[in-house]
Amino acid sequence: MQVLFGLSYAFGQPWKIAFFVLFGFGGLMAAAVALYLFHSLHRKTLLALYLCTLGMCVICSVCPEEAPKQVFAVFLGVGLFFLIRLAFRGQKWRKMVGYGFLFGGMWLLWVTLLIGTEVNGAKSWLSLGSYAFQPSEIAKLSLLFAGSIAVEKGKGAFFFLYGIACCAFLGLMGDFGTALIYFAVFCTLLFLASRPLGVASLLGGGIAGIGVSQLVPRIKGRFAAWRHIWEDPIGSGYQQTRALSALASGGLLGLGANRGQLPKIFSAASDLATATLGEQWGLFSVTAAVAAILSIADTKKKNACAIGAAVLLLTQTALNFFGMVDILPFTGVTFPFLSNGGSAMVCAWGLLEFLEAEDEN
Amino acid sequence: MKIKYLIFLFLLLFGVFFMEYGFCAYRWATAPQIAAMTDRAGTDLSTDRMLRKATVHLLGDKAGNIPDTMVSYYEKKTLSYTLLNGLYSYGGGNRKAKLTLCAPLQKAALTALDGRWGTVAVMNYQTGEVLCAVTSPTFDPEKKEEVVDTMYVNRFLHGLYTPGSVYKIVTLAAALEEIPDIENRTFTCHGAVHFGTNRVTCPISHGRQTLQEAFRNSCNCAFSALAVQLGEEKMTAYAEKFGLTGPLSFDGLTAASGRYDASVSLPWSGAGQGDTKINPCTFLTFLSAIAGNGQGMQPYLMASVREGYKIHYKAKPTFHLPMLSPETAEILKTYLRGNVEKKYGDEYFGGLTVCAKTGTAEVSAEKPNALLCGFALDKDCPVAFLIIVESSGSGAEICLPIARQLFCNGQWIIDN
Repeated sequence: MQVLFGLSYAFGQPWKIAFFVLFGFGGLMAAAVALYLFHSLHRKTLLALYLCTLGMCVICSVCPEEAPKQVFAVFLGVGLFFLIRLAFRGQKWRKMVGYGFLFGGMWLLWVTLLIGTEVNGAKSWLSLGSYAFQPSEIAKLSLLFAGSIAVEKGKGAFFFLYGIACCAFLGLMGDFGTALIYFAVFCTLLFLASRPLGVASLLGGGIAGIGVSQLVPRIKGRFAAWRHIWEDPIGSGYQQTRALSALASGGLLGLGANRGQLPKIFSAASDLATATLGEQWGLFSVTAAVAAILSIADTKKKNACAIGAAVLLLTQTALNFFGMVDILPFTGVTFPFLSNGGSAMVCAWGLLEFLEAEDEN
Repeated sequence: MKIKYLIFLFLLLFGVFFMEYGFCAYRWATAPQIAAMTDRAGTDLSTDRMLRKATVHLLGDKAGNIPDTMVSYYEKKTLSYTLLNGLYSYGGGNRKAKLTLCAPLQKAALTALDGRWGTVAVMNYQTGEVLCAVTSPTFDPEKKEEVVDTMYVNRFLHGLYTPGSVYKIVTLAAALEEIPDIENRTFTCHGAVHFGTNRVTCPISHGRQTLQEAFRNSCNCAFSALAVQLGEEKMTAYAEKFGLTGPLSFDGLTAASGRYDASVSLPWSGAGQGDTKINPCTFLTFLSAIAGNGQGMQPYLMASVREGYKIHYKAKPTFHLPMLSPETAEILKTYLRGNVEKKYGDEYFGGLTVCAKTGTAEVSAEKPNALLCGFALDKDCPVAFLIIVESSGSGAEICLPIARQLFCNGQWIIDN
C-alpha cells in the first residue's frame, strides 16, 4: 500500500518533490521492516503504521519537504516504543525511566514557558537551532508515568499537584487544547487514584474551563464561532469551512492524489489533516482513520498507564476531528499519527506501547 | 470497561458528524465557488469594497439575503456533485466565472448615485451584454451593515417605476407604427386640453409643433392626444409587443413584468402617468430594439464559466422579440438624437453620439422620480442606458449629471 501511495504522489512532480515523497514512503517501509524484525508487527502497530502512511500522503501533498522530518520522527517514535517496552520489563529500569520522565517533563514545560517561541498564539515550541519541537507532547508521557505511580503507590495528592501544575503551565503558554487533553487524562487517572480528589479536580477544572472560555479572547472567539462557522467563513470560521468543503468535495472516494484545494490552506497537514485526506481519498479513508484510532485505544490492559493513554488518544482525536467539523469548538491539536508533527509522532508511538498488551496479536 | 464507554461516546459524536455530512455535503462542497467571479476584463469582483457593493444585488451575499441570484443557477449547471465521488470531475482546477459587467462602470455608477435610491443600467444593444446594473441603496456583503428598508431589492431586475415622460417613446413608437402619415401632422398646445373629464396640462404652452418638436418639448397635450387616438386596446397591445409587460428571463433570473394601465386616465397614460409601470430591465431591451433596427436583444450577465482550458459555459447573443419595423426605429433614432443635439447637450455624454429622453414622473412622494434613458450610435460603443433616481427631482436636473459622470470618464468606453 505504501508503494502505491508513494508512486501516486511522486507521479508528475518535479524531481525534488518526488525525491521527498519516495524518501517518505521508503522510510515508512523501513520502519515496518524494523518492527517486523523485532516481532512487533501486531494489530496496533500495523494500525499505527497505516495511519502514518495516510499521514505521509497528506504531508506529501501539502508540504513534501517535511517528509524526511516525519520519517525521522517515526524512527524516533519506534525507538521510544522499544525503550518503553524495555522499561516495563525491568523494575529498576522502570523506576529510572519513570522518574526521569516525570521530572524531565515538568522541567521541559517550565522551560518552554520561559523561553518558548510562540507559534500561532501558543507559546508551546522550543527551538534548538533550526529544529523546533513541542515539549508538551513529551510531557504527556510523563503525566502518564506520574499517574501510574500515583495510582499504584496511592500518592494521590502529589499527582494532583503535578497535574494542576502541568495544566497551569500549558494554560499560561496558551496551548489550551493540549491543556484540555492533559486535564482529561489527569482527571481519569486521579479518579483511579482517589475518588474525592478526582471529583475536586473535575469541579475545579470545570470552573477554570468556564473562566478561560470567557476571559481569554482567543478561546472566547472559538466558542463564539462554534456552530456558526458559515456566518464568518473568511474570519473565524475559515479553517473549518474550508475543511468541510474539502471533505464534501471528496465525496466517498476522494478526488485522487494531490488534487483538491485544501493543501493551499494553512495547517492543512496538521489540524486539518483528516480533511486533506478526505478530499483526496474520500470519506471512506477518513472513517478508516478514525476506526484505526478507536481500535488502537481499545485496550485490554487494566493498569493506569493504559487507561490514561487510551483516554489521551481518544480525547486528542475527538478534539481534533470534531473541532474540525464543527461539532466541538476548534482547538489546535493534531490527529495522532496522521498529522504533521515530529514531537507528536514520537509521543504517539510511546503511547502505543502503553496500550499494547502481551496477548494482543 | 471504562474505555469502551469513551469509545462509544466517540462513535456517537462521529455518528452526528455522519448525519450532518449526509445532509450538508452538497452545500459544503459548493460553498467556496462563490468567490471566483470576475468582470469582463477579469477583475475579481470580491476584492474592492465599492465593487462588492455595486454587484451584491446580482451575486448575492453569503447569508442569502438576496433571493434570486445567478450564482445558484450556474452552480447547478456546472458543478457535478455526487455523494460518491464528490466533485470529482471538477478536477481541482480553478473555476472562473466571467460576467459581462464592467467593473469601473459599476463603481462609477454607484458613486454617481451617491446613496440615493434608484438604479443605473447599461447594456450593449448589439450583443445583449449587461455592462452595468447597479442598485442603490446597497451594502457590502463582507461587512455587517445597517439594513435600510427595501435594501435587498434588486431594482434593476425587480423594480417597477412610473415612467413619466420616457413612456412617450412608447407612445411615439406605437403611433409611428399604427397611424399612417403621423410624422407630417402638427400639434397645437395651449398649455391645457380636455378629454371628457380628463384634464391634461403642460408646464408651458408649447404652441404649434411638429411631431418631432412635440417629442422634444415633451408635450403632454400632444401625447395624450396620441394616446386617445390610439385607444386603450392598441396602447396595451403595443406595450406587450415591445416586451414591457414581460416575461423576460435570462441567466436564471426573471425580470419583473411591467404593466400598461389606462384605468386612471387614458390621456395621461400616453405621457406615462397613472398606474403604468415599467421595469428597468425590460425597458432597456426595448431601447436596444430601437437602437438595433427593430429587434431587441436578450440581455445576459454571465459571459463564460471556464476551468483552465475547459469551457463549461459560453454565452451566445440571442435575439429577443421583434418589436418595431426598421423604419420606425430609424425615425425614433432621429427624434431621440434631436433631443440631445438641440435640448440636453452633447457635453453630458463624453464624445459619444447619444440619443436620449428624460422623464419626470409624478409619484405619491413629495418629489418626482427622475429618469433618463437612451443609447449611443457609435459603432465602437453600442450601449443603451437607463438611469432612474427615485423621489429626487426632474429628469434633466438629476440624471444628466449622473450621465456625465458615467460617460465623461470614458476609460471603460475605450476598453469596451
